[in-house]
Amino acid sequence: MTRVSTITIAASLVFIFASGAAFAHAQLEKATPAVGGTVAPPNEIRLEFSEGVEPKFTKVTLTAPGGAAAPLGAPTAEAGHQNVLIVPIAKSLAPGVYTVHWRAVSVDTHHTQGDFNFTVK
Amino acid sequence: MLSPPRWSLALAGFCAGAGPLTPAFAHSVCGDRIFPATLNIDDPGVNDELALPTVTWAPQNSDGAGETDVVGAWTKTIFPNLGLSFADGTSWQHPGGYGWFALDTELKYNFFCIPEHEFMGSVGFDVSWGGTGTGAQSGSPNFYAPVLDVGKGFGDLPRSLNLLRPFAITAQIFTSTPGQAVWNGNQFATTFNWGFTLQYSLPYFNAHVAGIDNDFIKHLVPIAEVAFSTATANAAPGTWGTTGTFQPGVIYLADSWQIALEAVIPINGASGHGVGVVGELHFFFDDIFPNSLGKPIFAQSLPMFTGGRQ
Repeated sequence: MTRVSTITIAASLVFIFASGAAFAHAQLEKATPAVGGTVAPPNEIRLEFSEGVEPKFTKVTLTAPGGAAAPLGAPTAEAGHQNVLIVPIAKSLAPGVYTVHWRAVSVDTHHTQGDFNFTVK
Repeated sequence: MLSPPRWSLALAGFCAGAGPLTPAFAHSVCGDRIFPATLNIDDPGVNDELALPTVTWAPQNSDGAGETDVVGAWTKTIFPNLGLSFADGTSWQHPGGYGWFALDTELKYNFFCIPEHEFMGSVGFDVSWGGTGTGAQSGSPNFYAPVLDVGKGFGDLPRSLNLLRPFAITAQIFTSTPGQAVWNGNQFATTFNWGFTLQYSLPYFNAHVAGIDNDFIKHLVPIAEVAFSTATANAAPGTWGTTGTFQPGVIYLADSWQIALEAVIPINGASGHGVGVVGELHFFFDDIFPNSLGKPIFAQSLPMFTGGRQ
């Protein structure tokens, strides 16, 4: 087999397989409250990922200005959007800078993590 | 990963008309950091992926020939942190002619990742198989290269330095030694090679520092790569010294693929003349085929230092 045909076959395989479903490491695309944003006390944290995530295996914590953990409800996927995670905030947040830590497991079991701040005015 | 020996062969070989380097490298994840695949310096991890094609154009190599190279590289994980890469491709030189590069393979072991510090590293052993090149690229012996790759993201900086947290550096160091110092009447040098990249990840900025509304911009990673090669033994007369390139560019990092474009600026006349271009399309097989082609053959990782965390 010539090398040209080997490369051609490899390229063909890529595009044949790539036509099927593709999953990936779930990256945080957008958050509400916004990453680095300043907001009125929110009722929930909404995390929009690049890929679908598994709420059962995805962990989100919220650290209050003094370092204590702010109580959160269980994460759920937004109806019809497996890539959007909704996390209820159990108690109204006092003004200050909060840190969200998230660790997501995508539907293909890859896990990613991250953190960001937002400010409650 | 593809071909430190070719990298060194190319850099050292500019004087011999071997042409510009055209490698294509992997992406990897450690903690919050995704190190994208870079075009000249290998990234510090191991993954299932395909770089196809990587196209390099040089207006004038050190011999005065114009050159276009097209190569591909496939990496298959055997264990989650041990992979084997295969790379090959073609070169057209005017004048000089056409030929396939020697087949290049590398076994690479990702031996540490400290997630909270976004710090990871790998060691590898690369072989460029002599006698597998054709045409203008034929006539070289085996080259052997032990390789060290490291990467560090700056996400662990204090939040008072938030704007610096998207920065990351990666670096590579290796020696490339010919199996035979003289082959078909030509002399082949042992070289010491090193380089680094400086990256600013807008995906990281978007997820950790401040939200970016523009869907295109938030996937970009501006980058600069620098690579050098110095002959340390058995160089032919007139080929001692250091060659290298500076490559500023940008990567668009999508979920399961990326595309990159960089300028290739020789650091001196022995490295070439004029500004070239390198571009690459890269597929992350671990993300595209997580249950088949993109899955390690064995699920259990080899020992890896994680700084106490899993």
